[in-house]
Amino acid sequence: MRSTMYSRMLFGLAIVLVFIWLVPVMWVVLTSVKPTNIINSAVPIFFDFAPTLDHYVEVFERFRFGRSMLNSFVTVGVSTLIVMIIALPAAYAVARMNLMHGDTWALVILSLRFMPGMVIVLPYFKIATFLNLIDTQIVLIVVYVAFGLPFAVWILRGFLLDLPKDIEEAGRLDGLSWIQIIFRLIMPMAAPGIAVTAIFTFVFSWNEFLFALFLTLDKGSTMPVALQKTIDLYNVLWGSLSAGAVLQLLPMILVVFLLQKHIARGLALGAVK
Amino acid sequence: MSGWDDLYKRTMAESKAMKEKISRRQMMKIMAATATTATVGMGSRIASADTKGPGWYTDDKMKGKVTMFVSAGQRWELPARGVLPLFNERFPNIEVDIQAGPHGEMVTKSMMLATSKSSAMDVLYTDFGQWPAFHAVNAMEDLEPFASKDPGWYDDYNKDTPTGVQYRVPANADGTLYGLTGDGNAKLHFYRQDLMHAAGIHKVPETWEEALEVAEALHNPDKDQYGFITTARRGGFAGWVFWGMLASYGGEWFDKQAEGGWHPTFNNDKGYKALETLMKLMKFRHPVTLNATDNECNTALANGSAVYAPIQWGTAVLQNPEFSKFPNDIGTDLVPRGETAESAHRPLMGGLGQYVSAYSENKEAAWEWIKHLNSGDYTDSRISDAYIEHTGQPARISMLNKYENIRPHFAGLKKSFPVAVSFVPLIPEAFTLSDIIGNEVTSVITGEKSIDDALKAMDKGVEGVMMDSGYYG
Repeated sequence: MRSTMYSRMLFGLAIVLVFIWLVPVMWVVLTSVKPTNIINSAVPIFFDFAPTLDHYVEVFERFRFGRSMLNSFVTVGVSTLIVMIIALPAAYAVARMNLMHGDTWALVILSLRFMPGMVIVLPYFKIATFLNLIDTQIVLIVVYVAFGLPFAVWILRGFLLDLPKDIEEAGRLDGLSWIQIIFRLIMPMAAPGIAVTAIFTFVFSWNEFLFALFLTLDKGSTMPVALQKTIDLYNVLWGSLSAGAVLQLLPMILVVFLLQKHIARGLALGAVK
Repeated sequence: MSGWDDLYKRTMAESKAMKEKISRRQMMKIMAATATTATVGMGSRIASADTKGPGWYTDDKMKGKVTMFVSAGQRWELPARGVLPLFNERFPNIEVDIQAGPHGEMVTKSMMLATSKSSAMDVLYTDFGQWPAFHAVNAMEDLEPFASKDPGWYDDYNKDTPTGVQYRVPANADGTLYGLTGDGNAKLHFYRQDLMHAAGIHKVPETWEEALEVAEALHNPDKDQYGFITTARRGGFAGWVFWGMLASYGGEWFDKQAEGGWHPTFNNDKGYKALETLMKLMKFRHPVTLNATDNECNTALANGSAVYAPIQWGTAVLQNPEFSKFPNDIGTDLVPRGETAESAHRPLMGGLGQYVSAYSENKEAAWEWIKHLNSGDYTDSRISDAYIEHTGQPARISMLNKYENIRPHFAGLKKSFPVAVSFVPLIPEAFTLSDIIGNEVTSVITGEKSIDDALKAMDKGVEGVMMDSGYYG
């Protein structure tokens, strides 16, 4: 009885917390379908208005969100894939191969992520200009891989350290190579951890602004840069800004929704170490 | 429908109507010209029917690509895109690539391009107050050799564009031209005519004392109606409000803006009077005032919670019926002046413009592009029309005159430009200094400092920056 009460209280608290978290999101969603004069109203009007999709039309027509969305999907998708392909063997090496100073190497790899973006954006820009890669998807893919990889290796290392060694040793006795062990044994066992790492890598690159701003012009720009253009000289186009934010948020929500089972398991797995 | 979308559509509709008016006028001219030529037996050329002015020429031999960096949105990107088709008509083999980026980040990005001596940017379209920083890193091309090749155009530009918004080094009419400022703005005086009439006030305030009376008369917080709003966000925004009021009391930033000078002059009677008046107005302030930039001010004026903004950057959005609930009730005039003998109407003035990058590989083509962008009727009246249709706000007085019927705030700009002063001193440190004085203004408003202490701190802070920057030898 007492336990049921406790559970109900926790559930109620969870609902309140979710509601608090959702209010700003709902506000943005509502703003994206409000006419501008309703958005500007001194007293917020939440439901008493005729919804409009004009702001969505505007972000596609004026701010060319279609192209920016495609750029975001390509650069972030490809970079995440590359990161995961490289990070898994790298993390395995750091976690399992008894490298000399393995922990130090792990820290060194992570420290690459500590570099403030603003410090290195100029050299990146110069290199990209020299290689004629400015305003291309390639330059962002390279940068996102470079920045995402240390983080992914570090996170995956934590997951891999949690896995039992016995299975790997059995595999080795059965004559499997390192690569086979990684892909045939480790990958299925570490799937939740890999999913979580991939999501974090994806989210980081999806929301990344600084490099996208400096290394692209117009053709190669991604959604966060396009979104920022809705802040005009004398007024913020709240409707367009909100519509763009919703569009940027949707894939994230979809990914998290589809992978929520893995995420929950992955987070629990990572929490042990 | 968004504010911009509506503004754009409205301007297109207005422009169409305007064109019809022009067409009728031109038709009359054609008829008159035809009659004249018939009378005197001359040829049948009817030049007056042509939209082309004396500056019109075409060149299909000039080739190249011009990349212009510009902030996205109205007054920047859109007017440039508007006049581009006409440029393509004149220079079919020059490709202009307009790279519109987020407004808040454009200066940082452009500065990186400039300091890295990148040739990726041929033209930068930005706030001319930021140009000294670009000039300091030798990123700006001397435009005199280009301009002097077409003295007719240059003369027209000089006569039509207020000296105060032109970018010359040194900053006077004889200085060397480094950029073209085709866009102008000034701090304006926005007021609600309907509420003033209802309160028995039928005269637009001339002085700050009168402005205070209006602010008090219109202030009714119980009805969510506030008698004063301005862009008093901490930092530069608050600094420019104070500087605007100081200027109206006859004050200056420095004793002299030349060698041997550069000593700040805030801590005096004029500074005191300006800050004291601002504090009196603050009694009637809208709640958002201390965190307000243009967006917050314009929104509050548009929804009617703020009803009086005597020192606010000019904008078209307040007369846009989709954005504002009171598009026909908001009047525009000169920013008030002080009441002392040295006082005068001296609204702050700024502008946007283009310079040619010193590292451009297509300087000649880049020059032709910015010249076209700033040509107005001198080259072709279609350029002016397209510029205005696409949310442009010209610095050229002739264009302000021509289009004030469809852009009511142009009347205020036209009155302001001849008496205006620059919103910042044209030195690279200008924005740092603006922050310093703005922070002191905020400290007075929030009660952290007395007016005297804040003025002393302004002088001390500004002098420190100037000393560090080597202005005192």
